[in-house]
Amino acid sequence: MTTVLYLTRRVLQALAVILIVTIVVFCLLHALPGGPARGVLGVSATPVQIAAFNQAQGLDQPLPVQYLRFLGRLLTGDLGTSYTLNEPVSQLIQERLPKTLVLTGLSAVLGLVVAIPIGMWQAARRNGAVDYTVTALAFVFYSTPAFFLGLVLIVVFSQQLPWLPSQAPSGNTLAEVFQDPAGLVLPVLTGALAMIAVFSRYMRASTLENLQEDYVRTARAGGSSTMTILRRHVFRNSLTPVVAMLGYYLPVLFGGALVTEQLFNYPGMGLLFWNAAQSSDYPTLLGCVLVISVATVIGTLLADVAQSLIDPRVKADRA
Amino acid sequence: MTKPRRWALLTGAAIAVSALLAGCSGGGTAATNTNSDEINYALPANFTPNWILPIGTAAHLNTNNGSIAQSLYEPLIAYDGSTGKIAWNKKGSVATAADFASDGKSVTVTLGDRHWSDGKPITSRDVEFWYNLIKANKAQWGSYSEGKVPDNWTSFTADDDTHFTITFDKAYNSDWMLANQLSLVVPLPQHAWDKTSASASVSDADRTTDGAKAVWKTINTAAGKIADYDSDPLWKTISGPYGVKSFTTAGKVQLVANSKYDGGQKAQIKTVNLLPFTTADAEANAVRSGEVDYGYIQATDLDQKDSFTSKGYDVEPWTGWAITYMPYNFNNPKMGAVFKQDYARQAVQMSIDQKSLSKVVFNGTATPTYGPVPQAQESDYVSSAQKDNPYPFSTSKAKALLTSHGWTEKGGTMVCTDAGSGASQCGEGVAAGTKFTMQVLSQSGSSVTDNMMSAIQSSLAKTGIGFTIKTAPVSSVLSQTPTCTSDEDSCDWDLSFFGTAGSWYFPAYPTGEALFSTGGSANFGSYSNKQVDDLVNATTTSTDSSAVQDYSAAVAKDLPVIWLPSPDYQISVVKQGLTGFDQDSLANFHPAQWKWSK
Amino acid sequence: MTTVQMAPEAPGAPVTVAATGFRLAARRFSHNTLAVIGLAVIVVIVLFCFVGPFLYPTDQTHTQLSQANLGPSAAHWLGTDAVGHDVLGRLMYGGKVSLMVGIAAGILATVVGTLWGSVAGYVGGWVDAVMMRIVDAGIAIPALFILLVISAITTPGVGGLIVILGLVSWLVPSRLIRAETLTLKNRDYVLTLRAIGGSHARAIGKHLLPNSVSTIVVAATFQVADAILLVAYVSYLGLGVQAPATDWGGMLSAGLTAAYSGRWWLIVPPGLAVILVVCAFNAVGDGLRDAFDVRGRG
Repeated sequence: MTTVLYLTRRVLQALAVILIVTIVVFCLLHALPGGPARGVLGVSATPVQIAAFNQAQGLDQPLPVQYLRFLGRLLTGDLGTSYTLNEPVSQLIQERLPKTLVLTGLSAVLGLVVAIPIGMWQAARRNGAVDYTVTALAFVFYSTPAFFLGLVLIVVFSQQLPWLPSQAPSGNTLAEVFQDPAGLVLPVLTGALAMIAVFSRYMRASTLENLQEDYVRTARAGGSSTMTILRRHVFRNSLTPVVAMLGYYLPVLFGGALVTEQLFNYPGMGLLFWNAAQSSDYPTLLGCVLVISVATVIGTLLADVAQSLIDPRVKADRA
Repeated sequence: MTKPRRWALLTGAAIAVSALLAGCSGGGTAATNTNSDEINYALPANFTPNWILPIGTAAHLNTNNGSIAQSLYEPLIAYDGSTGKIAWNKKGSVATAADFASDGKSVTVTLGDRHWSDGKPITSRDVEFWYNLIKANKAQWGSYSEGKVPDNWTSFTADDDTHFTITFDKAYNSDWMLANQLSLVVPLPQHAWDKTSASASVSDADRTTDGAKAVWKTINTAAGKIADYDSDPLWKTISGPYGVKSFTTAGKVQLVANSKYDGGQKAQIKTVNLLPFTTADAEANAVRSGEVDYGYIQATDLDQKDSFTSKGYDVEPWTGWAITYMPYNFNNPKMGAVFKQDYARQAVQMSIDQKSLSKVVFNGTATPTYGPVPQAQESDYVSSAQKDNPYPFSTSKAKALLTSHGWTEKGGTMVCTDAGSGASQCGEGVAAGTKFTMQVLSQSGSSVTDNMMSAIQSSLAKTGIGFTIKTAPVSSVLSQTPTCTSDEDSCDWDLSFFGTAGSWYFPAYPTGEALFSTGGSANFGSYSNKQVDDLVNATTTSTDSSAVQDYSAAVAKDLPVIWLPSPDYQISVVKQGLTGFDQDSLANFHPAQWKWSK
Repeated sequence: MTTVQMAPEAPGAPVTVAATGFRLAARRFSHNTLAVIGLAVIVVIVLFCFVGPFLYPTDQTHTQLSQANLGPSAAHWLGTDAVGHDVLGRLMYGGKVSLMVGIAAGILATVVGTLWGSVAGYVGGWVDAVMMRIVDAGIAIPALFILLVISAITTPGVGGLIVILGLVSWLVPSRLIRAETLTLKNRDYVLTLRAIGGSHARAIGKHLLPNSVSTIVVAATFQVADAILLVAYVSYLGLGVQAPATDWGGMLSAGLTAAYSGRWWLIVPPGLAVILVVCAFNAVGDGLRDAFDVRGRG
């Protein structure tokens, strides 16, 4: 079928997915027992104050009514106002999202830039000393819980050897964040090391598979060097599982790595989400989840399209 | 292949440059404050200041908000622990005297010769302004509870610019009225705030109910815009030692000394930086790298005290004027009847070893508390009955108490085998075969709390009482363990715990009407005891100073909740050289008292 | 069967795993040092966790405040934690939970993901579209959110945790398997099979699945490794099993506050245990992939 038709279908499907996500998330949120009132107002709240709060926030309406109201406001771009942070949710997200994107984006770029060549190199020099060493290192980094890795990095590079600050840049705007690049190193590294480990494994495995293909044998028989083969033939095809995995990384890209943000005191989306959950701040929680979900849906759509463009054999059959 | 390569070069270059920069700068970015014009104070973890009005609405009652507001708008009567004892801090108050009538039915307050930052004098009109606003909008006022201010004030009369008289609806204990009610009053700049909308001009709108409501709405709406705190002219008319220089939504607040302040507590450090931290661990890291002058550490860090003192800090535990407990849900359909039995509650209390918990789990940073009056600071309010612990720790005695009331141990848990209401039977409403097990919904996020609960579980098991633990964030705990009746779904909770940082902080005069009187707003477990109700009432109305002690003894003995050690508000680490202050157990910080000694 | 094997020299002709035998795969596996070490490590750790308590009995349910925070000694080989539990014993006790939940959840995620992904990929059309959009919706909703909501409503036991973690993790393998299925589906041997009238089931069962084995196996290993990490993460956040039960993540969470106090025995053992086990599973998965790699023999 034609590309335009395919794209239109996928976009419509994506919209349907987003709608389903809003319903599911909204219902899950209101399935939480007790309601947010007491959590927000604290121990000393009186029943009168709780009732006033519920009424002001429209929480005394039946659930479908609340959902429709929410949807209506959503369509005008109004994500509501945070119960505890005194700000419109959209403004909160506007402040936090770029900071998260910087951190997770840098981790992703670093991860891919290192992992793809390493994975391919390992496949080319399979079972050599380098392959084993890198494999072992990849295993270790992949197997380390992020909070443990971050803590080790802090203890080693910030306390034992006072090279780097233990806190991420504390500026509010992106400009301020970039004024303190040293502070970004450890958090980005924490995220990137695990990514490198994962993606290099996948790259290695899929490059190995592709290297066994017949067109490679043919090319080799024709006299092409391994490097040329890798570059011209195998690279694109080996990227398929990596591109698929990138789709999985999108919630992290937009949602921030909670653990990294906690350890390095970096108020991004991850912490906004976690603190909202801890303080029963439903509008912020809902807003965060929605932003992450929408970004992910769009991202997986793009990943699928990219995948079909990369691997021509997939083009023939698209859902 | 060129694109990834280009990216690789760029990223590699960026990382290399940053590493070089980091190496060159020698690590660490924020300068240590040797500057005596500034101080960095660490706010509690995961708290961002979000309110500048000295009038709190329910969602903004956090003491840190209050401390900031108090630095800007000096209260009428500052009754707190900032002088080292819970007393009236006259230096930090606008009022200089409060004379109660001998019949206890009225008070005349004298104001000092004070001025707003724009030069206008602070007068009785400003106090009246506050009173009118509160009267018309009490339902939205966070400190309101029925029957208390402004309900119990029948009139406000301005005798002249610096004197006014308030009459009460009946005679009250003057200590209580001063410490708990008059201390809530904050003179507000009537000449700047008395507007019915942001664009309207100043008038006497507050003197009518509708006008007061409109004014309330106006200032509350303005207070909702955190981003404008540093620019909105409304917040420029201040009476306290500090003003706001910047106030970000991420929680970083900069206070700058108010040069027009003419009260008794002048600011001694020009700029105060209030720094937010996402977690206590992140804050501890900042302390270790010297980025914080006045911060805190966890109880579990206390054995590394030396590492902080060697970095130039003093470790100063900050006790809190609070009690910590687990409320029983007396309306729980299953266990409610068991909880209602005095011997059962006594057995439970006898299974809690507060001394060991304080020493081991809290590393000495919690005070064993045996009743409703805080014991962290010396006071005349606590009775000797409470101080001496009516139920010392003994699991064998606890077990004996249960077995002598018709319970038998089966497989490690006590089961009621002799049901009935006789003296040696389980008690009314307790069915035969009932297992003595309870579940607590406890606050998550603190390993100290988790350890305490594990220890309690273990010692209760020795008595034969089953104890399971479920954790949730504190706001969830509060939502899921409300006051309820036994037929409601929400009544399936046995115990709750929200006291990682102290369950309930009292105002200076620790009456317990919200907690222990029938129908009290924070009486989640529906505890009801007529005698205690009368005693609670007496603490506010009786002129007899022993009323509080009688209340303390009675409630300590009757066990409406499980008493637990009350943790310090925080374990402060203070840079050596910072002096001039006492840590206020009412959990407010007073920047005007801080001073760098040279 | 014979029809497909008619032209063994045809490009890309598969020799099914069943025909070559697991014996061959086992031999190839045994020549891979890293994989064998990994398998050995797994066996040792499983024995440690499940048989260990009989050789080194400790009380993991009652606290002993008088014995809290002791360093390693003859009485307590790895010291005690903040409430007096013996750390070595707790390592075994927690390991049981980490391993059980990790392995079961990983396998559950892979099974569900493989079935879902291969059916979606093979059938194609609108069925594929619907199935994968459901997966997209699942991936879009942050797992942490679902975990938070569930843990606020019920307290999961070990079984509940397995189901919850499995449900959160099956989405990624399904996408992977679908991608693999799509690639394989159009291979010549499958098209040939369909052209000569073979059934869908035979195509999936005899060709697609066996040739996806390496991807499934790698995916399964990563899933188990991921699940063990996820359990640790979930417990670190406080959403895992409740006291007195614990797992390595819970031990790490409780011990992290001791990071600067020099009480290394609270952090290093559980951290190392997690790293070792997850590494071992990765090594084994890698070895299995190489062992089953049919086309790699040339």
